Amino acid sequence: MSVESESRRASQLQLALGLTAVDIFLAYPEVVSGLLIRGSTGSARECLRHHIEERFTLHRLSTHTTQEQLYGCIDTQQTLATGKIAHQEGLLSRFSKDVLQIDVTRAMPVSLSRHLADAVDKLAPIDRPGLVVFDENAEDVSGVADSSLAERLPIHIFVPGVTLAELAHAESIRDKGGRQQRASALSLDSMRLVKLDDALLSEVVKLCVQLGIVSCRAATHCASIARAHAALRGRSEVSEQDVAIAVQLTLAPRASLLPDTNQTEPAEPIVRENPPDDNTSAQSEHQIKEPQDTQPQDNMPAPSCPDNATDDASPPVNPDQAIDERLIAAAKAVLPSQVLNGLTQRTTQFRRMTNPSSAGRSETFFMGGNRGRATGVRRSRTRGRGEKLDVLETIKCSIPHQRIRRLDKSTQPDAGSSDSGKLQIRSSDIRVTNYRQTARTTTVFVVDASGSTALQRLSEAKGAVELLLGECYVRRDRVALITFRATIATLELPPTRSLTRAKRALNGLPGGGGTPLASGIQMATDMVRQLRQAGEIPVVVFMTDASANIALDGCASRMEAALDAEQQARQLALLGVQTLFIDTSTRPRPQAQKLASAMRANYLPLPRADARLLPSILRASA
Amino acid sequence: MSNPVFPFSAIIGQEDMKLALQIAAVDSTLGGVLVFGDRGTGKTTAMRGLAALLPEITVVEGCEFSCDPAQEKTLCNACHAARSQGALNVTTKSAPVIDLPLGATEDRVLGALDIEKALSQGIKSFEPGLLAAANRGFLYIDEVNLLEDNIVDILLDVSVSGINVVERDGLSIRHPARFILVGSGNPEEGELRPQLLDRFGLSVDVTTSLSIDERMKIVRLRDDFDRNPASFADHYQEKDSEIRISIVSARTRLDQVDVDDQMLRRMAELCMALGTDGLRGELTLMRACRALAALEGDLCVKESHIGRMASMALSHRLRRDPLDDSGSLARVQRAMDTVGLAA
Repeated sequence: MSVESESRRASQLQLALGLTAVDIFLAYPEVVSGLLIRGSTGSARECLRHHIEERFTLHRLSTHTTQEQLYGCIDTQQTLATGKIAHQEGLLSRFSKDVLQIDVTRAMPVSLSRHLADAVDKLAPIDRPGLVVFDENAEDVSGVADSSLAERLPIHIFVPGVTLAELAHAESIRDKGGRQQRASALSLDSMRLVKLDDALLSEVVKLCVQLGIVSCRAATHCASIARAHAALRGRSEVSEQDVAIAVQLTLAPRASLLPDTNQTEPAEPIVRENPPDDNTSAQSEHQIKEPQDTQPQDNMPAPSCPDNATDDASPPVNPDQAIDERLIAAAKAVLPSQVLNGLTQRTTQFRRMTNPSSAGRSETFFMGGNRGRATGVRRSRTRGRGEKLDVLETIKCSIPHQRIRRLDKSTQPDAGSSDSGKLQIRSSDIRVTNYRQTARTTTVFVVDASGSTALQRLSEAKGAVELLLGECYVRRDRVALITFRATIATLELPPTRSLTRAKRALNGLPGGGGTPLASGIQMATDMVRQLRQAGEIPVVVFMTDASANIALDGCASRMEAALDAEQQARQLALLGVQTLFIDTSTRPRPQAQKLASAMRANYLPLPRADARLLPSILRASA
Repeated sequence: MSNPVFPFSAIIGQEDMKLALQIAAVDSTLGGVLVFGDRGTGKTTAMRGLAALLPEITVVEGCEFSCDPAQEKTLCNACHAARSQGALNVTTKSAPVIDLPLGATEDRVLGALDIEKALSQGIKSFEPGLLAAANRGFLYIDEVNLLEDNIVDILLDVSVSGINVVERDGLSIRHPARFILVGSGNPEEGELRPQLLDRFGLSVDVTTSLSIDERMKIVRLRDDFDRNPASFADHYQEKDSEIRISIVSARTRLDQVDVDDQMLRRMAELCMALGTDGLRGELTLMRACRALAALEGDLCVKESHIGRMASMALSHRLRRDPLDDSGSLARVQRAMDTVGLAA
């Protein structure tokens, strides 16, 4: 089977699963506190959104929403205008019957994720809105998937790129199931009575361990989603099918390890072994290939229709496999290939570790707004909503205008003579406190781990990163590490302040192979852009001998590789970022110097790098 | 309506964490508990569960700071004034558990000018913040290692003095703010500032070495709870009240527990061997051992108490060497071996 059709089938499976997820959410909003929907904008995402709107009104929530806005605050302008205290209702209680939609394009501030996580923890389901987080990044670059909020949202799904025809088809299948029943909540009590036997539960728990999921919440989510799915399908007992779906919705996206299964190649995005005439194959296949064959879906159990044959977007049931293998196959089937590849890469690194936890990626991106240290006042931009009113300054601003405002009484007929002694404050007087947060510095190390750089250099680089980190942790700065070797650059250590993590990443660092310098520079450039966007100050440190021999497209050609590297270096120079180029070759060569000048970096030949020297060099050149 | 609280006694495993929380509840001067570990290992659940089972506290009626009528020294200004005019009205309420969320503003934490009153009545009055609300209860910070620096500064000040001093917006207020600080976080996501680290009395690493059976039991219990919280809570009420009784009686017994010189010497030897900075290590270890003895009904501290409390009270106070890989727990263990203490 061709790679393309494999990936088509994977995305169709994901779409069918997404629709199932929405069905569960609509039927049991009390159980499903929210959805995390990952993947770029597109028709599939819009389709899911549209389905949610069948039952709930969606309100968009900005990622800059403050705690005051969530829980309510005083409406300053209204208060001034009426002379009576006017409260602005918090968004959580105002929309408690609806659903809040959060679009994350870049990163979600930790504080928002925390506030919403607290709301999920503490407020009863009827007192808070459902949450739907759209994360544009299928890979976890935004940190959303690892946030405290995502931990509490039971269902995580990836939306695939699909054609409109496929979408329309998937929809038409779904419509046969009867929109009426889906669009209204089903009885919670009957769902709670659905049985879940110990054998299945133990499979779920075992799978958690195999997938490297530490959190017990995930398993709990899985159990309740399996139950909800069974209830939705009119079953009184959770079947393996329900568990398979629940695993795909809850556990698979949280996996940090891929278990060994003998029959799979690691990079294979989908595992299917069923013969085409197997009548227990996945629904999505039926949907696409044999639409006429699909029986109408019904929420009531229909005796004529063995429901596990057609109604689920579950993976094939292969009688030769044990149940746990089937569940693992189910989990793998829904992961987008890039996530899967990332996982297999990580797997080799993490298998040695004693504690294969889901490496925390929720790095903090604090942005402007209402936090940080107060630095003076400014005129309010939002007329005092959700901002910290500085009463003294507001009064001071109004004082020069008092006389003229009193004379202007005609405009305010209700302002009687008894008011003459009172200050008259208009919304133009409102001053709010300005906050400033000191920008953080993040040092990005780009280290050559190829064969041409002796392995010993790599250990020097590791030492330098660790030492620098030791200092950073006093100065509150962060460090990131990109290495390039073989054919491509990899982000070994995302920006972090954590010594624990850095050590773990550095320990398993491989070396040897070609020198894809251009790819390394490109990744550094991307990271600098991201850091800038997050309001941080990036500093880039290259450690290489500049003998590039792998071009950007992965082909081994010295000429092209050098050209690509130079071009990428110019791109980096355009950003005007502070860069240090450490030439690690034993004899400094002009080509390294040329590259350094192309990226406008400080060039530093260092035939014998000493790990203990590097931090001081960095400080001096910074 | 808020979500029901999962009973403390229904939490499976994590014995260290549960013990540390109970000890902090017995001796509130200990400095609280820091729990480090992955998400979904029961940190938040244990904290909320413990707070829910603690006995009610006696407070001055209507006092925003939950002043203790029996403690004259710690009364707030308003209660002082009321007391000089006559007896205070007394009532009881449950011990507060206040969450300090990441991204909370300084105003929310410290308290600020009450804008409502300032605007509507022209009165300058103080609107208490989270620190006031947490007085005599718990202040819980999840992901404490990601807390903003300016909030950490506030906590450092207040956690030592027990008094919140507010000098802002033309207000000049001081009020009692004594609370048990409970922090949790994942060290993978960032380090905690050393100053704040040192303020925590006990630290616990929540390990996740759970067996399949334990994990299954956890999921099963949680599932039962989610489906029917009321009957689930009824079922565990008795066990919860046993824990409550043991904490209450340990509090009364705390003053009677004897720490003799021999034991103090052992503690000092251990801290010397570990090279902890200052004397906070010894002090905390002593208090922790005393609380543990009280909790277990012993009237004097024994070596076994020291052995059990050493890693909790000391593991986060070690000087760290960025290039030394051995964990702090291993270092405590080594030091205990050298001074001849058994864990």
